Amino acid sequence: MKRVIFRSSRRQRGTEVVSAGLMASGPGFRRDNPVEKFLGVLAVLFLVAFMSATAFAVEPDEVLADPVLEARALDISRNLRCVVCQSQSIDESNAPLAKDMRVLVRERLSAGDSDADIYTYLVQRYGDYVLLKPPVQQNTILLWAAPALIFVAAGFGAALFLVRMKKIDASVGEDATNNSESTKS
Amino acid sequence: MSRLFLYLPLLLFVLLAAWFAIGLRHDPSRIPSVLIDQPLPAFSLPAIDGRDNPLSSDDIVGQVALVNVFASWCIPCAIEHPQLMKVAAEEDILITGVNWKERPGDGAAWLRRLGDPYALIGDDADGRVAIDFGVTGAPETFIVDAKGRIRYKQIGPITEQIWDADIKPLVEQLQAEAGQ
Repeated sequence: MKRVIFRSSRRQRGTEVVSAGLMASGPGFRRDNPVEKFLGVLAVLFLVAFMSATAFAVEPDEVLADPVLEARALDISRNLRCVVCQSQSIDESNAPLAKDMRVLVRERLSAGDSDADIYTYLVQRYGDYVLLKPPVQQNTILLWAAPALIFVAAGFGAALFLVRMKKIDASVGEDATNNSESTKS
Repeated sequence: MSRLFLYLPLLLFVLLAAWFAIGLRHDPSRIPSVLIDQPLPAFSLPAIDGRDNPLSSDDIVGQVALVNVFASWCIPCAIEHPQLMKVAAEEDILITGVNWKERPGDGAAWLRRLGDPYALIGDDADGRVAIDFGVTGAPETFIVDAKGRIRYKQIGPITEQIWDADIKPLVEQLQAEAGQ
């Protein structure tokens, strides 16, 4: 008796996850049908994939007719920070200011600006902060050099450790031979 | 020596913890403006719907002026508004407004309701002038000296304390420099 109750509650728990994700647990939803379960999981996966595809916020009316210019606009947008959302590019953000900046980028591209012109234009107004990738310059050199410095430091540490281990090994070996000699004598 | 080495991780931890503690106190929305001491961006905005006092950069240059970016949809702007009214009534400074991304009529209606401290108001419907000013949100306020250089930027509402402690002394100093 106990075992039966245990099994049924387990089964319910399993399907609850799927139905909660799907909101499809109407009267026709049969909990034990493996095909429907599979379809349910598939639907959840599909939803997740679909949701990640909408992460780009460019709206249809913003897109330029010229595919080459649009490709450049996309590339630039991905390198510009949405200044109100901090960790998103203007390409990813739905913020009104991000939209204004996307439109601005496209307008200036259409007017014949180079990529560098556009970056300069925005850096003059918002500072280096607007660039998602910080430029290599005096105040960021430590930031850029940090990975190499840490790598060298770690290598130095590892080398030191290995040399020491070898020394300890050697001295332990000597001790062992000394010991065996002393026991012999 | 090797004894000291044992404390190295602890020392590193303390240093990092201190570093992050400082980082936590740093407000990421306060971006230092690169426009301080730079000339005012050149612009010319039409008057807002319902008003006839448009704003251009030429109107501002020549005296110490305050440029306030505001909108009726901006809640902190309503919080700031009484202080701007007070400044307009008590101080001798040109107060100008950039009405940011407003629907036609909304700005004028908001000012009818709350009072109008602005001598000149420009309608920045597409937000382009706000980008020229490096604006990240409303309200933001700039103090411009008589030569037309931006000398101060306030992010967020001007409170009475901020006005008395920071902005008023600066305005008086700039006016003295300009011989106003």
